[in-house]
Amino acid sequence: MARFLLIRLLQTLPVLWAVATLTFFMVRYAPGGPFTAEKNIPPEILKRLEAHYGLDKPLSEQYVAFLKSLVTGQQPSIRHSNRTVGEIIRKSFPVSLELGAWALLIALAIGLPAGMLAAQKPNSAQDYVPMSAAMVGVCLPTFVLGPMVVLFFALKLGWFHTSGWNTPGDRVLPALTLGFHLAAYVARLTRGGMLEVMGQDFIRTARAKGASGLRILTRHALRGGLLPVVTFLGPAAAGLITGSFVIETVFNIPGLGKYFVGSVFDRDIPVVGGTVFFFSAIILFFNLVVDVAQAWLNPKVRLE
Amino acid sequence: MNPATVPISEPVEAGHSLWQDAWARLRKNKLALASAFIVTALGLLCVAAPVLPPLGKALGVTGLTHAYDAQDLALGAAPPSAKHWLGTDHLGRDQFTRLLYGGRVSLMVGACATGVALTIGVLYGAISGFIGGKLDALMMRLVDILYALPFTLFVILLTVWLGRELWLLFAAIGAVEWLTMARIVRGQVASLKRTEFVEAAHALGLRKRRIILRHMIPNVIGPVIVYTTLTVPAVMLLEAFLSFLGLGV
Repeated sequence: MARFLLIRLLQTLPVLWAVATLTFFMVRYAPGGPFTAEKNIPPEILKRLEAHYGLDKPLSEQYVAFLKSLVTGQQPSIRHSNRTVGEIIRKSFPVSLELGAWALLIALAIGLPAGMLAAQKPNSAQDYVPMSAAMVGVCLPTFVLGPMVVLFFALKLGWFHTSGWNTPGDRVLPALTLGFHLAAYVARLTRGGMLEVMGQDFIRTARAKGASGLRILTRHALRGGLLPVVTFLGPAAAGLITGSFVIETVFNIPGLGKYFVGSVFDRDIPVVGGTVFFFSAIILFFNLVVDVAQAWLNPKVRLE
Repeated sequence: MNPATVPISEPVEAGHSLWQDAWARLRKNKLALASAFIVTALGLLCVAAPVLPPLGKALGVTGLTHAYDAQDLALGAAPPSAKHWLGTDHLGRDQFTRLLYGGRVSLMVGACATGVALTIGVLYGAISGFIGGKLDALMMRLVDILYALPFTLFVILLTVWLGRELWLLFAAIGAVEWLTMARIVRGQVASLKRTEFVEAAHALGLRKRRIILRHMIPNVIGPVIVYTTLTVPAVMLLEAFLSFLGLGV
């Protein structure tokens, strides 16, 4: 186990390096630069701006500086020039993390019971009702659902603010929007996984020896049935806690997703690099967590 | 009964081809048939959108006669009415007509981008799984790296790079959606490679290219079809997301 973890962690290093390198050259070679949006900059000022941010040096030197800045996080942002990349991430990541955690909790609290309920009696009303609701959830993109819940809960009923991230109540609508969408996927995957497990021999054996329905569900079926959910949740959770651009825009939340997309449009290389690097590291970490969780849930999987 | 009329042998029972079988099973599934009908009807309506205004004029149906860019500023954002079935937007344009035109783009994105993703994913996965060894490891590492790269970055830069033409947008979306397909196909091919009929094909001296095209790809088609049906809505939503960013159509 320890050996497996060590090897896997070492394997992520070249991937992270490749991601960083790809990001750097893609952004550098893409048309447009950080200062193209501002019109009519006199050439001498442009030159001084570029010199200030080290953009006039040869590309190889810039590349080395870029890699160094990923480790230290000290590079100043071009767009938000009074802050470094590290500060931006430190400030906006907790917001995205909190929102993502709430959404994940909601998704599991709705999706898991709904899926299990549906799998108990397939092709009955108990199956069709939650699964139809889940289908609606899959089909509704968050940028449609978000404004709809704002219209109803914030404008019509006046229960919450339409946007912002100041009071505890401001967490409710964005977390619900994000969580409901994810819950739909979780419910569908749970149902599929549970149905597959419930048809297997060891469940029949458990039934034959007289285990109660609840015991079969919790002791025998749940472990195997949750495998597809766990596989899906790894990357999904990584995406959630690193910020959802759509939700952050709709509800005007100062999270990481907005900084990331904005920095790509601005060609703000330090911020692009920092956020991409951060995002990739979290994805890789969650993939590792999924592998370990799978080995724990499924005795057939061995960590090697 | 007159023995002369009894046929000498029982008539041979007509066999069912695989397609007939599939059709019979589909006909039994009411839900699937109803869904297929709705999707086909919506698709046809979208495809027929440009010929609807003259048709509406000929038939005297005012709800169909609007052009998608015709404005009636005095109307503003009006609720649904007999003249405008789904109402109008803030510039007084007919929402129903605009919805159909939007559907055309979505259908096109769904078909083209999925086609691109399918082609790249199947070929990449088949080659990687079939050849195996070092090349396989290298190709799959590349997929891992692209997986860890946020697709938003990739798509934004691709659309900026390739320009704002429609078919380039399809290519850009397809270019980020092929990764899972490649993984699925690779897994299937890698396990098929050890089967006896592929060994037999090798023994008969078939070339690799032919084995991949004739023997491997038909056998991985099942999971590929399932994943393709999931890719179509995924790329439509991705296009909608790009429009949200201001990069779409």
